[in-house]
Amino acid sequence: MQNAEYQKLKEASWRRPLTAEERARLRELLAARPEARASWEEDAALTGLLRRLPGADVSTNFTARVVQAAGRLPAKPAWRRRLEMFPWLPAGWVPRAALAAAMVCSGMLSFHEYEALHRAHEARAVASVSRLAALPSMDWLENFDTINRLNKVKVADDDLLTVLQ
Amino acid sequence: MDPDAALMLRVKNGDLRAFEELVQKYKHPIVNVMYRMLHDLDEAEDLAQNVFVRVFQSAGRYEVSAKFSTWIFTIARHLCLNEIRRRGRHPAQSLESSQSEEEEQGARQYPDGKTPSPPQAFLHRELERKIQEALAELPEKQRLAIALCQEDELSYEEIARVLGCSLPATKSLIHRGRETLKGRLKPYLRSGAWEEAENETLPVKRCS
Repeated sequence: MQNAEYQKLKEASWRRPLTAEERARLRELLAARPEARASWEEDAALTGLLRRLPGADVSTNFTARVVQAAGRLPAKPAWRRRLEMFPWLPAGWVPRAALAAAMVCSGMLSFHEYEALHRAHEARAVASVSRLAALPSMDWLENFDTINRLNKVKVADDDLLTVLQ
Repeated sequence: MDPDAALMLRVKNGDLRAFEELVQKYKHPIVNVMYRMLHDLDEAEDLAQNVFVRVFQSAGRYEVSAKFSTWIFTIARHLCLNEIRRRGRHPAQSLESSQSEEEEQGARQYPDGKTPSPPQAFLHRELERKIQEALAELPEKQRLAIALCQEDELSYEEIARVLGCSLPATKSLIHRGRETLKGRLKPYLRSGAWEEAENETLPVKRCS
């Protein structure tokens, strides 16, 4: 039965015996939907079985044993007691903080390493460029002006060409 | 303030008497849940002891805003599931399981005043064994949800918090677990054998 009230009653019956009022309401619901009766009875039978399952019989000295074990616990070191003054810290924060710190450190080291490699690479590039683009010696520039002027002659020297031919 | 929370505040200050009161109050529900999950009373008690020791150790972290029952059952859930996983990794033959079933049943003791007649006792044992078997075959989470549902200390909302699920998911877990149980225990539900056992809730005793 897909009735919300029936469902609520069923869920309540899983945890505790229904009250007289609830039982009356259930009877009304089941009278209106007789096809749900078999399912209800099966559910109630299972609830009965589970409820009647025997509870575990705890040893008589259990409490004494537990208290003794708690009393034997070593006293917490001072730093642990001081840490307990900060209850908002999540449980197991020490390993988490250590892991986070390790990750940050390895990240910083990697970045540093990358930077160093990058700088070395740049230095090598600059060195090779400077080797290629080395300035010519001053002797090479001795006839520079003459050669430069040759490029600026606008009119062809026909006499010279004739002589050359 | 929740009386358990008040006791926990005293435990926080190292008051063993308050701790003893808490153990006294919660030992049965915790051992019961452990027993439903592990089907070994000695192991259930050992784990329950660990739960209480954890409670004592972590008293400094306990926040009064959290309900104590939810908190302790959450610790119990963690330890229990860890134990089940450990067992899965290192399966070991229990010394007790080498006893024959008859020997084990014979060693169980029932209170004198309620000693059922032999056919009734047989019916009880048979029923109990079948239910335990059917429960043991459920997935861990469904089994735990059903075990917690049997405990009066927790509401559905609190069971959901212990399981770390939403309320609808928790109800669905219980519903699916119960449907599986109904399927497996159908012959017993139909025969009305469960009615025979009415008013006969006997505690499980350890084998001597």
